[in-house]
Amino acid sequence: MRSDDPALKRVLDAAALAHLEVSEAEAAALAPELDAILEAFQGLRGVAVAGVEPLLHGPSPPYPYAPADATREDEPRASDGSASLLARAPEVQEDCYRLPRAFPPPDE
Amino acid sequence: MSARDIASLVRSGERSAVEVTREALARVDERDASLSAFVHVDGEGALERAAALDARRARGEDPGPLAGVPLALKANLCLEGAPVDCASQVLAGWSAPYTASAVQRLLDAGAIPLGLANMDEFGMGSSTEHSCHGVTRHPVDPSRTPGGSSGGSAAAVAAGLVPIALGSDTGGSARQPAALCGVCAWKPTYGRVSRYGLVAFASSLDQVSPIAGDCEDLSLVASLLSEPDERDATHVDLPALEPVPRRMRLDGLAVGVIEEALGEGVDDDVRERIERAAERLAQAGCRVERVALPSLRQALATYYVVATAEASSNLARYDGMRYGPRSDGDGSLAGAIAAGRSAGFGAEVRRRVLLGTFVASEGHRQAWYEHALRVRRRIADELAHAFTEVELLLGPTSPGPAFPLGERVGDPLAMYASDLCTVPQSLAGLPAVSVPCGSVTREGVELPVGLQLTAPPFADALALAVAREWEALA
Repeated sequence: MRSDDPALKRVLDAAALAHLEVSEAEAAALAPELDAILEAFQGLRGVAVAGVEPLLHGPSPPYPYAPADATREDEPRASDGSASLLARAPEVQEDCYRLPRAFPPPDE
Repeated sequence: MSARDIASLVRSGERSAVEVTREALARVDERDASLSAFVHVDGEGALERAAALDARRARGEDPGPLAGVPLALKANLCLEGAPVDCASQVLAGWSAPYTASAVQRLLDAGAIPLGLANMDEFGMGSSTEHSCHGVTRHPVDPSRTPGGSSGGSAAAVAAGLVPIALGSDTGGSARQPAALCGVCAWKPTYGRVSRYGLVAFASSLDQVSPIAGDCEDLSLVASLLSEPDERDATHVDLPALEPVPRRMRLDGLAVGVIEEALGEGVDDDVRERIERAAERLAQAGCRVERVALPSLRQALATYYVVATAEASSNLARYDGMRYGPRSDGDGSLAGAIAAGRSAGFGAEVRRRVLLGTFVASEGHRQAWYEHALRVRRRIADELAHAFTEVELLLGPTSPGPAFPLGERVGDPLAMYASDLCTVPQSLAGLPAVSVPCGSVTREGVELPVGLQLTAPPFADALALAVAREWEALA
């Protein structure tokens, strides 16, 4: 498969955005799969939606009940805390997650 | 034995919770080796909870409406201290830092969790084959899938290991395995059950969903799960459902049979069972009519665009820095993240993350993701319009019966088609109940068929009540 193949490029671009390592062999296998899925979904793009607002989640209003006030009092309260989360982390330092270096060290 | 019968015996003192738990653990020990419904069993923890419950009862306290009832939890629901890996290597070794609200409700009612049930990784699958723990088998025919992604939960109930289980349902993940295994499931109206402590797959679709052997047990669990919870901002502030669905007369109930749910892609024998169910309801007095919902033909594609886009965003959190095992990669932060995600995610999750990233990416977002959200509204509007003419919609839960293991695992489009009948309700956030509706014969084996009853938003009680009446009729 050629590197300028649009199906292959689609896989490699998405993999870079999704922080996934994809080998050449895997990309070559995934490209026609994703292509086939998108081809099967083409009917969706033919649906006329001019003037239709996106629905982010259902059910859409009006609801058959009076919606509660979605905000609550802004009061301090105990949360689950960081200790139990840090105790489960792969690597910690003091009360922080320890990460590998994000940038190369500055030149001496 | 039903959950309510077990609870009744334990509450009256005829049986102790410890006895019931020991027997349930023995059943799991004996039968689960061939099923693999459970991925983790905590016998010691279960017996400790059971002993504490017996002690409460001995002190004169009411041990609750689910006293001593053995429970299975899908491996994406948090129980403090228990593993919650969502059947993914990316969360290997991770244990829950707190307990999900839905789980806590059942614990407070006296249920005894035996352990965690198998699932497709992060809920992405319809056969429980995409799991780092291996496949779960169908309780009737071990060469077939129990469905998925809550296949472990459904198989555990169908095999009689536990009377009730919690699953989750994003595009049919509780309803479809319940149908394939011959048990009942309720997909609540979006917002009817708290999702606090449910690991996210697609946040505009995910719901905690109970699975039970019959609709009375299902309703009992539904009543507990539907209590308000301010820890989930999407949870609506409504009174809990009744623990026992009201008996209702079917006389004059307007039921719409969804044309598209009996059309292309649906097995002939399944179609015949559903048509027969519609006739039976008509004989019982329902006003049954056909309802055409043409936009449902685009529901599967709409669902897979929306769900994968949301999944690509939700699963971005698995960077190897905060959860699960860490990889080194090339030593850099970016390299370690990519190496960890690549090693941790299974093939189907990788496929869906790539698809979701593509449809939500700059240059393609408008044509795919945003377009799908607009089609989603058309689907929801069409369903809403149908409910101006009928009170309930009816169709199959699954387009076919349990299929052979391995048949679709390498063919994503064939696997996605398994969700044909369950994704419209998820997209529109509607409540639906799957209830057994006869069986079909495949290679000499009787395989269950599920009838799906869909109600208008927040009419969960109607779907549960009619499902109970259907059980009485059938």
